[in-house]
Amino acid sequence: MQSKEQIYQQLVDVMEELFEIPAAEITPESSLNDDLDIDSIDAVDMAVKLNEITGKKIRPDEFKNISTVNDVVDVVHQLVNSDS
Amino acid sequence: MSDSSTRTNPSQAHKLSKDGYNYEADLAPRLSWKVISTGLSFAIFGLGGLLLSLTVFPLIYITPISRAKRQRISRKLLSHLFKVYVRIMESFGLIKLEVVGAEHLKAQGQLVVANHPSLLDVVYLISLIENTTSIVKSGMWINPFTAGTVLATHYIRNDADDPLADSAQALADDDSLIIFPEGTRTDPSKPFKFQRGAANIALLAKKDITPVTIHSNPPRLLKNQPWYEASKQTLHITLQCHPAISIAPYIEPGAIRSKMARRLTRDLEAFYLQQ
Repeated sequence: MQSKEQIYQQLVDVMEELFEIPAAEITPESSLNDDLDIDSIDAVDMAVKLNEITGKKIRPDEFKNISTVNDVVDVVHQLVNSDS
Repeated sequence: MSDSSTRTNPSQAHKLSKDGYNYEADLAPRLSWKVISTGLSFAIFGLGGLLLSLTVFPLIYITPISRAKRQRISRKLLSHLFKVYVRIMESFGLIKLEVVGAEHLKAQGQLVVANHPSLLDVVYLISLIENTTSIVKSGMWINPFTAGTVLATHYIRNDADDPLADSAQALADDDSLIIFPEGTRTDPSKPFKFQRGAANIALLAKKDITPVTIHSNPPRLLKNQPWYEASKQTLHITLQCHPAISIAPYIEPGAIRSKMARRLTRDLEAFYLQQ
């Protein structure tokens, strides 16, 4: 079981590592596309990395509804805390 | 008094456009040959395109030949048609196309990127490369002006499942690929910015990037310039083809793709801003 806070921290680390975004620039409300310059190709890489960390796969159709960092945290939180 | 706030002022453009150009003073009178021939050129392009897209290209498409053969013939035909179209515009005195470094476009399967100042950039580039594809809007497959053509040439749809993979596959098949990293025509009022699609394709396909710089003097056929506001001058268009930029430093073992895509894109932007 992971808390949203823990997931958020891990996500910030992932974004720093993959996209060279300074942690200071990331807030829960940050828009992936507009604020952080994360495009659809990056989203795929991020999903792969999150899969490695959590063992859970984010489905492509779920990505369509994601626009902020909080959205990602919510999706991952739901996946990690569900059965199987 | 004309309202210049509704159009882009080229003299405020970034380095890729000419400074100090007086757009207002360079407008050809409405009934001049310049404006008439400009309109005629658009009509020829439109009607010619429509005709070909509805007759010749669909015929090629349904002919029982291999896909490889079909796209090769179609792309070669398109390239030659665009060459003819450029010559028509030159004969009207509207443009003069100068190609520098054409030897850098001679290889098969090149990933070609270019800045995108004007409406006709894709026409110039395709006229120079006989076997090339590109990622284009899916709307072209249902637009009568382009449908037959994109079908026969097997261009890559931007709404395909994985246009990047399709692009990498085309390059692997020795087809050249034209990408405008700006994603749209240059807007001189905005900072110069490249999207990362071209870099991601280069990384995926492990292909060097061949940069082409397109320069128009005077700066015309830009965004927000109505077609009937033709220049009094013949537009001198320079296509400068540069030696390929090696992909090797960006695909070293252990390199993180998303990081390299950003680095490569920044390097490409820097290259273009120097031109």
